[in-house]
Amino acid sequence: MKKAIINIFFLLAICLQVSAQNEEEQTITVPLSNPNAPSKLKLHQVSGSISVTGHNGNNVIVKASTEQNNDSKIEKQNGMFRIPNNAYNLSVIEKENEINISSGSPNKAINYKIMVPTQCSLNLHTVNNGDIYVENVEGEIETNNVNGKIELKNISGAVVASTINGKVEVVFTKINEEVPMAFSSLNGKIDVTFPANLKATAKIRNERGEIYSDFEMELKKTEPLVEKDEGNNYKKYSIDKWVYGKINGGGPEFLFKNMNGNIYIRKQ
Amino acid sequence: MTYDEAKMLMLSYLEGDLNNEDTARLDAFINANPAFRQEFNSTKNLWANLNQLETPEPSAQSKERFHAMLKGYKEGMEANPIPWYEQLFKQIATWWQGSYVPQAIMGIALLLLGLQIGYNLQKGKSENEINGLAKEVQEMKEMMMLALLEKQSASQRLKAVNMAYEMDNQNSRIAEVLFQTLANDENINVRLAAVEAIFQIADQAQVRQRLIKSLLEQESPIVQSAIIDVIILLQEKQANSTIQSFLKKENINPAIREKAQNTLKQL
Repeated sequence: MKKAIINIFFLLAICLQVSAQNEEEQTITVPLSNPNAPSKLKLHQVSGSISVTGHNGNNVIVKASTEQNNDSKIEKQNGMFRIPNNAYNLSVIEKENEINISSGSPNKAINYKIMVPTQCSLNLHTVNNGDIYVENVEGEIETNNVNGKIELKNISGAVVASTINGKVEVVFTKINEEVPMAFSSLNGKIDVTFPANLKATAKIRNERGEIYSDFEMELKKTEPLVEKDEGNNYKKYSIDKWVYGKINGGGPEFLFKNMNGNIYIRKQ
Repeated sequence: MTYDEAKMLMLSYLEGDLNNEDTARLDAFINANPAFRQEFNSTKNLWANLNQLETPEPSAQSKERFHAMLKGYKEGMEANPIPWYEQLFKQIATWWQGSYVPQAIMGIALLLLGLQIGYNLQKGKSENEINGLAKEVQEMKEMMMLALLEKQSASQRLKAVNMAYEMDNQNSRIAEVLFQTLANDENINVRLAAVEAIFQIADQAQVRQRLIKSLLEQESPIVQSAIIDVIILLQEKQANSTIQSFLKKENINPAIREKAQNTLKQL
């Protein structure tokens, strides 16, 4: 019951947010040329958020919206009203199950809500004014953000995620066992949840933050590097700041790098 | 008594080893045959004369001739000596005809020697084969790495960069590929992995210089931070000027600016 109430609140909050933004939404539905095969989606943009959800259909549904500013009365200039300039260019290209979404208006913040077939590899980049959110997708997911967070939930496959000013949060249900992964941030926490049977070698570096994990890691001691300088006749000893940890015997290399934020490697 | 038998008896008589009975029979035959008596008498005379013949002494000349002949043979031998292998062969032949023990020892020793030679030859061959195979594997890995780097998927490219750890460090082609990746790959994490992989081969001065210089080309603060970390690890004094020109750039993330300034103090 409590949960239901929370959910209702959550939904309300989303509705309110949507109405507050006054978004003008456009929808493009793209059927796949080979509906039974896995697909790929690529979307690189400069401004705006991206949300991708897996669904059971065979087509890709792209909903795009911009944040309108309809307070035309406020923005008067020399007795003239500002007419909202919300036109933007959007193109979706599908070729052999590869979908490429691009906008011809890089300065306009466009928020995407995309539905893809569950088996879909993603390549999502954004820079400003938005987060990247992915849910229920099976495939290789590559996400880059700069000023926003990355949140990936219920993912099967592999992830390469990087952001600068925001957190990276990933929850896997299943992982592709042979593929290396990487998670990096500068000013935000990195929080990744793996299945308990994960086999991987974690390579972790966190400059000012802490590293936490409930996996039992077999840590490798790094030997100090010794270097001789023949000319100046000195020896230098340095230690690699990376932490290497084998999880369940080790496997492909999973890289975690952060500067100002903690790193969490969780077991499901 | 026949004539032939009488002749045999006569020779034995002359030699002096005829018994009395046979002497009587021979006398009777001689008396009966006058022709044989004549032959007997002449043969007896001849025999007596033969006994009286003197054995001639060898002359002084004959001795001299013999020595001359011997000397001639010796000189001939010295001029055309028996070849060493024939001598050796003869010696071995003499020795060989001895007991069976040395023959058995010799046989076993030869067998062992043969085995050793065979083993060595085989070993050399298999070492060559292993080296050849290792080279092939290296080349295949390189090709695989290049193929993977062409992939759209960032995790596949990440895999390719990580493969560099397993490869020959001194291979300049690998370094080139990694630098290309660092400069051109669109994914920050792949570039980050490339920095780490290049650090592994940074014992070459050229590679170090190039890695330090690449700090100026990178826009991502994450990659910049990784390169600065490597500069600190390498303690490369020459990086000073690079970091100074890096600090002159605009739009540097404040955290990275601070880090670069601290690095200048550390070097």
